[in-house]
Amino acid sequence: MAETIALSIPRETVNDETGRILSWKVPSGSLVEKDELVCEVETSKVVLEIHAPAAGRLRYSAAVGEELPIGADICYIVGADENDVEPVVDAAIPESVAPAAARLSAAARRAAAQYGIDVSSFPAGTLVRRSDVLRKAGGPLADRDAGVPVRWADLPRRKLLESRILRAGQAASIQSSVTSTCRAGRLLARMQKLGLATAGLQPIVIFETGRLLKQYEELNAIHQQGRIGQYQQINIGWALDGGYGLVVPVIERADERDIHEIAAIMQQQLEAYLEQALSPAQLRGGTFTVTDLSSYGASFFQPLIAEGQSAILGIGGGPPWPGDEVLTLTLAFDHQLSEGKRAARFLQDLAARLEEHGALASPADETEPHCMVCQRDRKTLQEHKLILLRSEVPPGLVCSLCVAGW
Amino acid sequence: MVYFAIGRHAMQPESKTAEMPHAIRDAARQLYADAFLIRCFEERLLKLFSEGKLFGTVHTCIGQEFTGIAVARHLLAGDLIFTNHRCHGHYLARTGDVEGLMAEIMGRSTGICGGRGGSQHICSAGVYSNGVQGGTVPVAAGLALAQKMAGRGNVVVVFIGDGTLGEGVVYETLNVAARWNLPMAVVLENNGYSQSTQTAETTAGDILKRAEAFGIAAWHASTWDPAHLIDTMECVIGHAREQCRPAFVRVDTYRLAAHSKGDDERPAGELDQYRSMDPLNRFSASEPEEAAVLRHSAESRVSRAVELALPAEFTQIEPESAVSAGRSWQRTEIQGSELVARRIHAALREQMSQDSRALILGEDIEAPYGGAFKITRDLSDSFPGRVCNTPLSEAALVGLGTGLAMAGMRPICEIMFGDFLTLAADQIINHAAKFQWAYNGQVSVPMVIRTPMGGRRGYGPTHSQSIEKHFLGVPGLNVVAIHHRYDPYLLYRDLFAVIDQPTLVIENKALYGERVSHETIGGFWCEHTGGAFPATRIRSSAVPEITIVCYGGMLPEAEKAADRLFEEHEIVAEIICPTQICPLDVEPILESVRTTRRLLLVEEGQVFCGFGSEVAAAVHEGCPELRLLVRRQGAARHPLPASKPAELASLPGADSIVRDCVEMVRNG
Repeated sequence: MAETIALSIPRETVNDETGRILSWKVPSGSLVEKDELVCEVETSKVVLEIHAPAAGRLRYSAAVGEELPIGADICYIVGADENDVEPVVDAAIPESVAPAAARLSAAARRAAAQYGIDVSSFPAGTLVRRSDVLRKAGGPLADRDAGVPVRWADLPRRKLLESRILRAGQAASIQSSVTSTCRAGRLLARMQKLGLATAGLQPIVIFETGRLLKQYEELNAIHQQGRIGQYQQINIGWALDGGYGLVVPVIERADERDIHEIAAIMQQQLEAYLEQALSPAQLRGGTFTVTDLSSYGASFFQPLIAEGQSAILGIGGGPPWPGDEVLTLTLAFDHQLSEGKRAARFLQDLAARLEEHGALASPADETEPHCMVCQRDRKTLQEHKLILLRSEVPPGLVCSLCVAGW
Repeated sequence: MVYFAIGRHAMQPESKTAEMPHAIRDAARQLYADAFLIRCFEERLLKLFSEGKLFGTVHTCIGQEFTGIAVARHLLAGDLIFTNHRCHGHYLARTGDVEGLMAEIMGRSTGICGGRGGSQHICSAGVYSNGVQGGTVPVAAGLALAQKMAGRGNVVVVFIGDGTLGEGVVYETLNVAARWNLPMAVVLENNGYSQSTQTAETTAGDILKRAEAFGIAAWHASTWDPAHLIDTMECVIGHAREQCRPAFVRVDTYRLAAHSKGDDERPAGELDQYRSMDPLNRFSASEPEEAAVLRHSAESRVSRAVELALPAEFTQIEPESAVSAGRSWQRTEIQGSELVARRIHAALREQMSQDSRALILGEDIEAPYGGAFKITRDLSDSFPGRVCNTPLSEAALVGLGTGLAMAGMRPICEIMFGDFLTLAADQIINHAAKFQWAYNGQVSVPMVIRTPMGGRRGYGPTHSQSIEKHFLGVPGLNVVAIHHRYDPYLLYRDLFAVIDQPTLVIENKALYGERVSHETIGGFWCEHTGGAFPATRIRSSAVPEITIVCYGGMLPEAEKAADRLFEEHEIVAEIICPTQICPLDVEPILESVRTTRRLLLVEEGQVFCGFGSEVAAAVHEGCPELRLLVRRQGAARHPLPASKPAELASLPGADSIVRDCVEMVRNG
């Protein structure tokens, strides 16, 4: 008996990891001559012609349209006997599929095509019914099967990755949220004064949030199987979506930095983003996230907790009452670690601090001594019964609150 | 006619013993001593029967004793006798074993066949008998063929009666014995009656001319001249032995007792006449003292035998052991993908080359024709003299096989079309399948009978059937069916290695052209149990919803059905396909049915009392606590039409299997 010869997807280019069967030139089970053209395989650059290396009987092990990895078998040539008779091809019998691939029923194949399910995603050697395909497609859309025309396209990798992160975050937590309003006063004017107009509100929010998280520790933690994992750093990520997709750069040890520092880091991350040169390191390690849609007219919204975190702060623009800047602050949190009252208190404290900053924006304050970290002026500090101290290293004035760290 | 003429011209009785020379007198005395022993034995049987100490009936040979004696005079060690229902005289003349035969007829476990065979089915010391007329002759011919192949100059003597001349298999055997030069002597005891019917009423033509028509030398003698009878037997047996040719002798005689106890309608006058002609009676009349001594001696011996037998225990029956094959499943891996026909051929070739006792008999099997389905192809070229075309006689060829197997050979009989098995039915059922058990294990018949069944070729009603079911359930007969998902080469190889019973191997015409391969339908794979005759299971990784049981030629259809069931209906089936269909191990089927609870039994033969019925009953018995949905499928209840589309519509196939499975799954 001649041996069985296997033909496989050839590697023609460095880039390709797969090839797709474009067409078969002879029916499965027919006798082929040496060098006869049997199949066309599509790669990213070219269409490859596959020829039989020897005469024999050809048996498919892949179907038209299948995408297979380089080196995967596409057909076999078995030895043909002299007295061989051409088998009668029964039209009802489907072309044989590679032994390792899953087998789909006719209904399953139709469903897979309709919902764009990759056939090779099913385990090798199994039988796949339409219900299995629908289960993989998932969701109400799949079940409805309304027959509405659909055009399918692949989602960007980034979106898939993001979905993965969010899915993980959602799965791990019991989500709740609290929303507060904050009369920001002239917070924007204040930022201008500080020379941070372009940075928006976020540096201040991040600054205050970072210090508050030292008090509200459970919002800077992770839950796992009945245990709380307290992060030993406060790394606040901020959502950035500037035309190159949504990313969340991380400001490490946000609680140890002052507003200017935070704003500078954010500026640098923005520039890197615009150049699409953000490194993975800059996106890693976040323990809390701040996301700001206030400048886009969003009144308030429900942010989603990211994987590995247990809280996220969303900033909205509040109802559009003229004459008063109002922010909504929505804290979504993991109820396994915190609860509504805590969240509300956090927001209350945060709102209070932001309101103070806003209050600092009066024109008379230019040369008024103020804490170099929190920028509160003497007057405000007095109101809060805080002390303004002179620091040698770094040189300047710092209030007692900021000396304590928060 | 001729018969009565001989009767009236019976030879004169011997002269008084006192005037004979010593040697002759001793010889004569021995002759009568032997005759008395037989007669007293038979008379005692009749008496025992009246006393209720015998079972069944006895066919006594009173009046015919000298035939067996004359034959025995010329037999050598290694010569064999195959006789019939009236066998006691033949046996006693050859062996003198009064005790063993008495115990046997009295149903004791100390009898020569342990009480299993009784009066008509004896086996001991090279003497065999069976109770069906005619069918003994080809078996004897098989024994003779084995003698010939052994080359030791032995012969086989087969005893028939005048009535046996009505059975065709006698002529089938005379034909092949003459053609093949078999050392077989046919001794026909013509006692004028076939049970209650006079020979003259039923037998046309001339008895001896029948033998002569086949070119067989024929002799004629009678029991009324024992000396001449003995001389004649010397010629007959000598001819068979020295010429290695069949011989035929007609021995006119008369039985003085009934055919079997208690049925005798013959006129009393006739009986009286023959009683007076009887040599023993005449001897008793002319030498009363001598006769009395001999008679007394015989009667004592017989009485002692009865006394020995009476206290012995009756035959015991062993409880049946359950059939069980290996329980574990292993993945089927078959190298290459050759045609089924090639694999069978390869197995036959291997057996012929490995085992010098193997030989193949069949019609048209020699090269270059190589058999109707070319299975035996070139084997006669490779193994000259051991692959033999027989005349068109299924009965003779299977009978030959039986005799050969009893003599230690390993015959393989090919029946060209399974439909023709009917012609060999008597040989298979009443002879081959019975000998081992009836003779209490003293012989075995390791004979393979292979034949193709099945339709789908438009051959019509008598060439397309699957009638194997008529041979299922015959004790002593194994039935095996090959298929293409377990290598027939392995099946045959293991069969030849373990065979100890006649085995009917059902091949399938349509299957001959299939490839032997483990590659089955997509998403499924093949497994098989352990042992020589495994069951095949075709399954997937999914939980099956219905079990399809079939064998042999139905497997490709079941596979196609399972393919479509998943493809079109998303129904997952599991196919169980045994190779040994009788006796049947149901456990693999039970295992599947416990999961699926639905069982579809598919066979190509008739459903009534068929294989499916047996499996359905066995499955219910095997798991009585389960609620099962069971259906059978088989051929339509009429002969298969020749017109192929009509034939296909009359047989189960993928369509019908899919239909039933869908209904069974949807509705139950």
